[in-house]
Amino acid sequence: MTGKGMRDYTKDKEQLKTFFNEYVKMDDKTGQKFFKYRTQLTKIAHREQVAFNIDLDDVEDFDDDLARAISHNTRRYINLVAELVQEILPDFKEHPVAAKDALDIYIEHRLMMESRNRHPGDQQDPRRKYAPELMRRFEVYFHNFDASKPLSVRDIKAEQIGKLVTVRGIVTRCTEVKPMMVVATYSCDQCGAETYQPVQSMSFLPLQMCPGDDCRVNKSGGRLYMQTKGSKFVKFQEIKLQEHSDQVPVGHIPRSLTIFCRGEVTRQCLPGDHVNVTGIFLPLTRSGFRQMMAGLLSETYLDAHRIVCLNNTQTEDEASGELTDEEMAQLSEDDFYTKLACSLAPEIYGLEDVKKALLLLLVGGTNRKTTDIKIRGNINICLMGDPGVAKSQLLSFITRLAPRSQYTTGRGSSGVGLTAAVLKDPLTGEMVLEGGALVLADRGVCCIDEFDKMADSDRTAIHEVMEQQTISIAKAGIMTTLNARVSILAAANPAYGRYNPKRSVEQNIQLPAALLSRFDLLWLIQDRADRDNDLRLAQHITYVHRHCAQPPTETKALDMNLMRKYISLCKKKEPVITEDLTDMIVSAYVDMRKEARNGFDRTFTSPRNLLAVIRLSTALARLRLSNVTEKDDVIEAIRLIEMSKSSINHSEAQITRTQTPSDQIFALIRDLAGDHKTVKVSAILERCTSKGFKPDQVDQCIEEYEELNVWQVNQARTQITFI
Amino acid sequence: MAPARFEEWTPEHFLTNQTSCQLILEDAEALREIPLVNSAPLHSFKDGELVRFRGMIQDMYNPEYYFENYEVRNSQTGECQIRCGTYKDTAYCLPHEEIIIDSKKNRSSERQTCVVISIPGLNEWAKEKCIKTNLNLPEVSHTSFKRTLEQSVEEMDCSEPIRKKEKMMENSENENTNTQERNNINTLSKEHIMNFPIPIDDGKACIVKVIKIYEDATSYKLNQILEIVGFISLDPALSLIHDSEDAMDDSEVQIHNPPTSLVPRLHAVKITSLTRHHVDSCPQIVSRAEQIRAELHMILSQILFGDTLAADYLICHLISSIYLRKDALCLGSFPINITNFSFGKFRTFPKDLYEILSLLVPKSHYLECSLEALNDMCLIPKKDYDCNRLTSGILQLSNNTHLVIDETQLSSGRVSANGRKNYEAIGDLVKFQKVSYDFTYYPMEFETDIPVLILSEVKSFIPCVIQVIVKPDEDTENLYPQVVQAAKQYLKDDKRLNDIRQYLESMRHSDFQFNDEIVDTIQEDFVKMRQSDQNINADNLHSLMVLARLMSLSHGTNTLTKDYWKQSMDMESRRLERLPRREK
Repeated sequence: MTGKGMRDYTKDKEQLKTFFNEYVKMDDKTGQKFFKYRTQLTKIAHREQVAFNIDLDDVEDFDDDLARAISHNTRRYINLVAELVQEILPDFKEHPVAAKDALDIYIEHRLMMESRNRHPGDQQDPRRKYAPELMRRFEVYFHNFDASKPLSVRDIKAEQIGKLVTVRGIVTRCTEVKPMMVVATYSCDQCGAETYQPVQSMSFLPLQMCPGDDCRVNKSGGRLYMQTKGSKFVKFQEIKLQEHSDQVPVGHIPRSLTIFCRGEVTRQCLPGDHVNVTGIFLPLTRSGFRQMMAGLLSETYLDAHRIVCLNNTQTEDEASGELTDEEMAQLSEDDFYTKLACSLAPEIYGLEDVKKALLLLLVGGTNRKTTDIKIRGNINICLMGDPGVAKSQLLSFITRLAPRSQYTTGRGSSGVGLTAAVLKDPLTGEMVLEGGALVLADRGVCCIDEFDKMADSDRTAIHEVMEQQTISIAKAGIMTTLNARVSILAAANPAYGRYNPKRSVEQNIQLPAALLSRFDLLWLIQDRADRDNDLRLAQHITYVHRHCAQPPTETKALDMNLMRKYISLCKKKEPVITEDLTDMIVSAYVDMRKEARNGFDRTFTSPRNLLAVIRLSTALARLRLSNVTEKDDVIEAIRLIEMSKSSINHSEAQITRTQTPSDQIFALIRDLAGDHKTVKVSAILERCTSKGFKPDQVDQCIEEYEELNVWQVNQARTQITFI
Repeated sequence: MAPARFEEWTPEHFLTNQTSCQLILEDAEALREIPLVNSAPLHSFKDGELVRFRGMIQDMYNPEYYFENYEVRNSQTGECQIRCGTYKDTAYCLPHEEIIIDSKKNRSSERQTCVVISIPGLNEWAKEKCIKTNLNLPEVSHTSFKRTLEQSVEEMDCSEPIRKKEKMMENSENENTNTQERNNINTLSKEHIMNFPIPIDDGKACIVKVIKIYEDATSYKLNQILEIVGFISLDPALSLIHDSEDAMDDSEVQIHNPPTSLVPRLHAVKITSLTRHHVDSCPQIVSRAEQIRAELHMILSQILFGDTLAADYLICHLISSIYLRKDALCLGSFPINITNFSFGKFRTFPKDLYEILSLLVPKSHYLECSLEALNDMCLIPKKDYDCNRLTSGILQLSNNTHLVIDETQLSSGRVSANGRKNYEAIGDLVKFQKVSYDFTYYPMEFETDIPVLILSEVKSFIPCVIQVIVKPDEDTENLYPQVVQAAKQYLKDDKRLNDIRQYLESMRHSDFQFNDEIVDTIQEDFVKMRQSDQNINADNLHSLMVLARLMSLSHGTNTLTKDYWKQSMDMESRRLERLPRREK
């Protein structure tokens, strides 16, 4: 026992009795006081409720010593409470109750028989007396303290045996719910008496000989036959719980725990659910053959009292926790915005503006919803760029950082895989809808790589998601709309493998205007040979190789967990835009349109840009944890949009590459192909020689673009297929 | 008081003299005297003997609670005695004794359990030769001994073999039941129980019960190689533990309690983790590095049809190992793809190359990647919830196991869903050195350090950055079969072979530093390269630096000198020149 010495259980019983009778709680909804446990007991007396739930927090209010004792030695107290409740239950019965099942009638009859037959002072065989479990029609469950943290499976150690613990994990297997015998009833064929045998463990030895007075005295040797109708069964389910991947230390395998559910706790979860289970950790007593052989080993299980299913967002909230003081101090430093932006993907050098934009994507703007109009707050960004500028690395970093995210590639997903698929459920045989990537990333980020390689038909699935944030399904008899409140982060390569400044933007980015305008920000990242850039990049890489660490930048990169916590904190704010700012925004937008009209703008400016400005500025305000958007936010938002436009518009200003014969030949091949996907090399050679190019130039061009994955050449090198 | 010879140690003796025994075990030389389970057949050991086992952790089970002290009452005399349960599996009590379950003097304790299997991919020469001489037992007694064990199993187990187990096993992936090994009580095949990632000839599996009194075994990770000294438990009673009660646990209980004739239990007393293959270290290796390298270079270039550049790359590949991991960045891996060897003329080239390589490195595996194999292979380990264990896959290999993938048999055709998953797994392995184990509800990534060598006729379908095109030398090509013979003959010289092995091993684990001066040179050169060729980017610099490091290490130096840097740059440009589609 714990060092407190033996507890006085009768005293505890008295205390619990007063507790049940007198505990009063304020009801949140009606604002009135009500007797929590009395109402439960009344309901149980009238057979309207089977589970008797006791909150340890309430017991703590009443007497914290008792609460601690219960939590340390819960098993003992269950029996105690059960006896107690059985004693006081008749007091709560207000009106006669109709029998609900066969066992009720049996109990009624037995009680009548007992009162009729009993003489005062008569000694009864303990087995003839009605077993208390048999007469009980309720079950006692304890709820753990609110303050208790859910443990992981590997934290449950031997010292927890007998205590009430809460475990968090994923359900991997569950059996069907079966009836388990709690009290076996037998009747004798000779004297007709009933005998009871309470069963504590998973297996038992049935009684054979009747112990009744008549049979014993007369030595008639009546045999006992089991009566299932009169026996008491309780629902039973066995569940295996496994640790979640974030609870497992690196390099180890997740551990699992067996859970036994009895009574009302059954059928609460299915395999694959994330759950919090509260229960008592107990050793499994084996009897009979097994006990002899495996005498050394004992197995353990958790006797469940309460199972709570967590959906995904809740699991992250619990896991993250609050910010500590030092973290708060870090956050309130100046220039936190730049620091946070630089900590995104620290191994990638440069691209500060892009990182700032990605930070805003993670935070997101505010959603506005009235009955008819829904304005989304999610920001969508598209990154275009030459191969090798670390777009994929940025994407994978964001995937790892965002609490809910999905990563897909254009080639690897189909429209169905992105939205929702209709499957046949193996158990029931019905058609079931299973969410694709966009549905799974609901309230999160969906990173789509190689966006341009996606087939056009699949890309249309994304149109709806980006603007309306829903997916409408009408297939296989299922017509419904699913929520897909995702922010989309797309990465694409320009059409010719590398951005061709001689061509217009639409020809490079081969995406329809409808889709392009839906992106709030469109960045073009070019791989320009710039001496300073290269030197810095080389320095960065050599530092990493030498010191096996990232080079120290002026601002130290923040830890990913801290960033996650901060971002989830930011998401709780809902900043508003004040009146005086609206003028500023409108005038900025009008300027943007004027510029576009004057012809120098290669991108698409539409009213969606206005919404983009609003979204970005609210996101910036959220980042500052303020409830009001300010002028600086709007200025910064406009600046980011300008930068994104300039990355596209000014790309042709630096003409570092003259048009090589390869490019000209490529243009010719493209024209020759027209709508077809394949071109014959012989036709190309003909065309090019007529234009004055040499055959080896043509070959060079073909190889160069094959390297860039623009097209594929077959083995015999007679045919080119566009990818 | 302590018996000097390990054969006489018993668990009781160990417990009473723990400190002095531990001291004896610290001595590495003395450890060699303890018999090794890997090489000797199981029946040459007796129950409770102190043995050694070398293996890789394949799976970890839940910890189990056992009685450290338990009280036994003699029903004849009525007296009670306390027995110790540490280092044992079953309670030792004679027929007239019984265990008092509820005794106050019983003390429970926790111990961790892992499954340890023989090191996959271990080459013949690397296995420790067994000292025990009583191996020459005739075949007849071998089987008869086994039969007595099995017979005793038959008598005592009175429970019925479960019919549902048979139905379940029909769906399992392994259909070949070794009927002479198993009788019809247990319908699980030996391969299913043993669960090796790649078939091992005389592989053994041990269930190792690790006893840690204070801390749990968090320092041992999956796929780590350990040498365990402990007491072996061959008690045949262990296989009788299961009963047909629990429907859910049938196959699980069977898997977790296989008969000890197949999988013995080992109660660990001392565990050492082996990161390096044990080779007698020789200080002169470093000084003779140049000479040994030259020999190795000559052999490899002969095998590779006289191409010295390819041989350089291959040497760098052989000594590559990961030295830095941070987030998604992992430095040090050097996968190469050797192509354009004239496969049409010499169909045995991949196998010959692999034979030579397996003589040089301690652990390697040859993976033949044909279309059917790609579709059918089980590369990724998957958690089997029915049996509650991790079913192994080919990619569950320990660090520094060289994987040679042969794509020459790959034909065109349809890739199934499984094949696609396998393809992605190999791609992840080559790019990030990570394998995602499938746990149904979520994937778990495990880091690996497996050097991959891909042999293909043209560029491999697996994305591998460094592709080396072999430029065969006419004369050597024509004399290929004789060349191979000559190389094998050359390597028959034990001393030479030993030198090469030690060289590779020590170079792999040497320290390396980049100096300040060379860093500036590297940066300048990189900038110049970028200006001349648009296609060079950060990845090229990363791989150049890895190559430079490996080149310097292979020559025996710990820092990068200008010469080796220039040499590496030169090598890269020559290799790139050979590639067909680069535009200069």
